[in-house]
This record gives sequence, C-alpha cells and structure tokens, in this order.
Amino acid sequence: MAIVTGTAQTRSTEFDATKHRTRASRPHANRQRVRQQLVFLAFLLPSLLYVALFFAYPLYQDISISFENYGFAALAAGHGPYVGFSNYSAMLRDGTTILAIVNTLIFTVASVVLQFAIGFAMAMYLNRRSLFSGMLRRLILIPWVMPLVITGTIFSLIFQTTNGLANGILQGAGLIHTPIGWLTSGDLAVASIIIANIWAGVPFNAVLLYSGLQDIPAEQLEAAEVDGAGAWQRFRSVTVPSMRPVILIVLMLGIVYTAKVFDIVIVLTNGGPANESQLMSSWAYTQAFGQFNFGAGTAVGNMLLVFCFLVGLLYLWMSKGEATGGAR
Amino acid sequence: MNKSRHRVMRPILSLVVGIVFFVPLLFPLYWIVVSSFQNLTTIYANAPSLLPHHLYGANYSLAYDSILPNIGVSLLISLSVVVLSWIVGVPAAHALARRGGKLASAVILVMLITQMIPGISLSIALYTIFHQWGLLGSYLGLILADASAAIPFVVIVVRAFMVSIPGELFDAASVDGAGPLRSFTRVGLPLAVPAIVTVGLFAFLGAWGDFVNAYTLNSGSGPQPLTLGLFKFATQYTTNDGAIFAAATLAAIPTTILLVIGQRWIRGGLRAGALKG
Repeated sequence: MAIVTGTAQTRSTEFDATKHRTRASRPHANRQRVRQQLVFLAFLLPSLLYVALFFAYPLYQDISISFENYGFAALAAGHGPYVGFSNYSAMLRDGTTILAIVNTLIFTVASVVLQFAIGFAMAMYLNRRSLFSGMLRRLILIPWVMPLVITGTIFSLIFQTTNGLANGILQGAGLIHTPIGWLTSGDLAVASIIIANIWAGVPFNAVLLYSGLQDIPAEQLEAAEVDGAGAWQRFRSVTVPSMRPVILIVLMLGIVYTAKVFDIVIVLTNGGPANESQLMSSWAYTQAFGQFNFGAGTAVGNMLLVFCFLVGLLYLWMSKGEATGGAR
Repeated sequence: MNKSRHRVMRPILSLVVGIVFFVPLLFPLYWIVVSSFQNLTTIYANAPSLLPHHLYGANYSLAYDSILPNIGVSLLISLSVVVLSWIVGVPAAHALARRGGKLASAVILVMLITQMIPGISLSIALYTIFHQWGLLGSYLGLILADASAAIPFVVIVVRAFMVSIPGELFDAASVDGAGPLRSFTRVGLPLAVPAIVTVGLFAFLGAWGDFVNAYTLNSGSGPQPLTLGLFKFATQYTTNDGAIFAAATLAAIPTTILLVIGQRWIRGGLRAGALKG
C-alpha cells in the first residue's frame, strides 16, 4: 500500500526543542545530560533494533544471496556456494528479465503520469465547492483503502474475455464485435495491469493534490484575478508554483511506490501469458519461489531496489533543495 | 446576463464533469456488489448485468465460510501490528522530536530510506531468514514482517507532529520535577494522541492490505490473512464467478467500514504523512 512519508521541512524546529531545555544548576547539568542521553537512547533503541533486524539484515541477506547458488540445499544450510556475479549475468542474458525491466518502466511511467493527470483534474474538481464534490470527497477513498488484492480480483473479473465488464461495455456500445482477450495477450495484459493500478492510485493522488490546493492562500488567487489574470494564467502562475512541494512528493514517491507494485500483477496475470506481463517484482518472485532459485530472485530484486533507491535519493535531495530554497 | 447564465450552467457542468470522473472510479465497486447477488446463469446470460434482477444469496454461502476465518486472522494480525508499531515507534518519535543533532537526523534519514525498499526484496530475504528462525507460516512471523513496514512510518509522522508541541510545556514539566520518562507519558504522549491514532490506522491498513509478506511467508501453511485467502479462493474457484464476486464484496467490507469511521483521521494522516513528515 502506498504510504507516503515526506520531506525534511520541519528539521529547523527540532533544534528549537533542544534550545528550550532548562539549564539547571551547573553541577547537576552534567549528570542530567548523561541521564537524558541514556533515556534518549533507550527510547530509540527498540526502533533501531527493529530496523537492524528487519531492514538491515534482510538487505545484507539479499546482497549475499545474490552472489550465491541458493536453492533448496542452501535454504536448509543457511548459505550456498559463492558464484560471483553469475546470477546477475544469467538474469541479464534472460530475455524475460529484459522484458520485465521494460514492462516495469512502461508500467511505472504510464501509471504515474496518468494517475497524476487524472488525480490533479479530480483535485481541481473537488476543490470547487458543490453538493456533488462534497459527496465524492467522502467516497473517493474507498478504492484507496481497499487491499490491492481485492482491486486485482475485481479487475480480473472486469477483464475476463467472456462475461467480463470491459468487453460487455465495448460490445454493448458496438465498438467491438468479438471479445478482446485482455489478459490472454501480452501487450493487453500489461495494459490491463496499468489500468487496474491507475484505478487504485488515482484517489491517493487526488486527495494529496486536493489538500495541496486547499493550502493555497485564497488572497493570492484573488490578487491575481484582480490583476486581470485569466483562469489558465492563475493556474500557471499561482496554483502550480505553490503546489510544487506536493507535486514533487506525488510524482517522486509515486515512481518509487509504483515500481515496486507486486499484488496487482500476481493477482491479475501472474506474469502471464508466458511471462509476457512480468514486472521486476513478480519476476523476482517467480525466480525465487517458482524456480526455487533465490540467487536469481534476489539479483532481480536488487536491480529493482537500486532503481527505487536512486529515485528515493533524488527525491530526498530535491526536497531538501526545496526546503532551503524558500518555496514556503 | 452573463452571470445568470453561469448560475444555470455551472451546476449542470459540474455534475457532468463529476460523473465523468467518478463513474469509472465507483462503478466497478457497484458492479461486483450487484453481481454478487446474482445467479451464475443470470450473470452469464446478461453480462454485464447492471441491475440486480433478484436477490440471490447462494454465492455467499461458499464465500462466507471461506472468507470469514480469513477476516479473523487479518484482524488479529493487523491489531497486533498496530500495538507493536506503537510500542516501538512512538517513544522513538518522542526522543527524535525532543532532541536534534546528527544522530537524530541520521536516524530519520534511515527511516525514510526504509520506505524505498521494495516489499518483494524484503520478503524473499525474510523467507530465508524465517526459515532459519522457524517463523515461516506463523502469526508471529507475519506480525513482525508487517510491523517492519509500519514502524518507520510511525516514527516519521509522530515525530513530525511532536516537533510542533511547544518546548515550554516540557520545560514546565521538568521544573515541576518530571524526569524524561514522565515528560513523555504526561506531556508528549497525551498531546500526540491525534497523530498516534492516525498512524495506528495507517499501520492497520498497511497490515490489512499486505499481500507480499503473506504470499511469501505464509502461502504454504499457517494463518491465512484476508488477502491471501481471497487470492486462493479466486484461484480455486476460477469457474465460479458468482462466488468470487461474493468473496470480493465480503473482503471489501471491513476497510470500507473503517473508512466510514476513520475518514477524518485517514485524511489527516495522508496530509501529515506526505506534507509535513
């Protein structure tokens, strides 16, 4: 599920908190500082332990397994024979891996761009006060809180060749005469996954962008209107600039969260037909649990991981610039 | 004159635009609910059926027996994840909010970075690790795995909220003789309740929706949460569309109820998590 965590904007205030600390009498001060340091660490320790056990250790495991021949025997022993980069090179020579990388890129770009565009338009609509938009503000989150597995299940029924909703509507409207095999041809299977993912992701984009719109001071828009700016000009010169931090979050974290989508592919196509709709996430799974080749699985997973890290770091770097650049 | 025309056109235009946006969003949900109450043969004869012809409950008997236990499992796991991520995350958030410095910044950065890691990478590694630890196919394993996704989020969001608590309140408490522990339980904790409830809801939703951990760690045996249960159900009854419609509808009910109750918190959490964190 997409959970966004954000910028370093509040960093400045945390130093204020330490400034407010009382300065008791000098002899006490030292002992008190040591005690506070200890309490600070005690409060922090469980979370650090958790990160060490459930993030650092698995990451280490991911890296070491990807250099091993890690199958059934290794699983029992805890480690397999070292094979260098051969998992990576074998995977990159495999046409399906390349296809999975291409599919992941298409899937990510198409999902993020369309979710953003539709979400932005929806946010603009929600931002206009009307009876209808009020009602929709309540309903819009239903698809978002639903587990993606349910979304995938719904869309697998929608995209069924016979008795599916998509073909039913298209045939009913006379647009097609023979049913389309949405999930049985490779390109359409990828398109179907993208559509299902957009459906699941639009509400999140819309709600975030809507709250960004709400934060724009009304006076700014009014002032622009008084100055004779038309609707488009107001949008370009007031709305978009003041939305920059939100737009950055929605796009950059959208990329990270979309690239690692797993549930929808597995439920909708399971990478099929004949591996044509594999994404990197589902391909890593298939290698590890379908072939019981954990070395290959983690190799694919690590490629995805590097991509997500790079986008994430780019985001952190950009949002830091944003905070110090005085956008707010 | 221009204005009066606007007055008539605006609501109509607004309604049309609204319909264009929201029919695709909400119709699939309507469709599965309606279809779940139809006889299989009716579904096939009139596909796609947009109006219920008559209420037909038989689809539910199969789905009910299968999905209901899954809902119980998910409830137990998700609530445990909420409690665990509170216990681990909230004190850390407090410490990081009260104390700046390089260590705090580094910890926050690490917490942010954990959010970038693809679930599948963690799951494959956890599978091999839990194989050693004997935690595959267990409640504990799934709770630990699901909580690991929630804890950094709890730390980041609650910390961001606690930073805005005026330092004077803590100063006053320490003048009154409160130590660091008391100032947490008497000042930080009660004032952060809104943020704590919000992150709890998100931790719940995250664990409730988890599929990648359940599918990798508990696929073979052990407790089957809702996501895994629905997936297996749909795979098992591929030819029984009516039952799948019913199962999907049942599966969608709990989060929808949660949304109705927690709407305000979820909305606030989205804002806090994304914009302030």
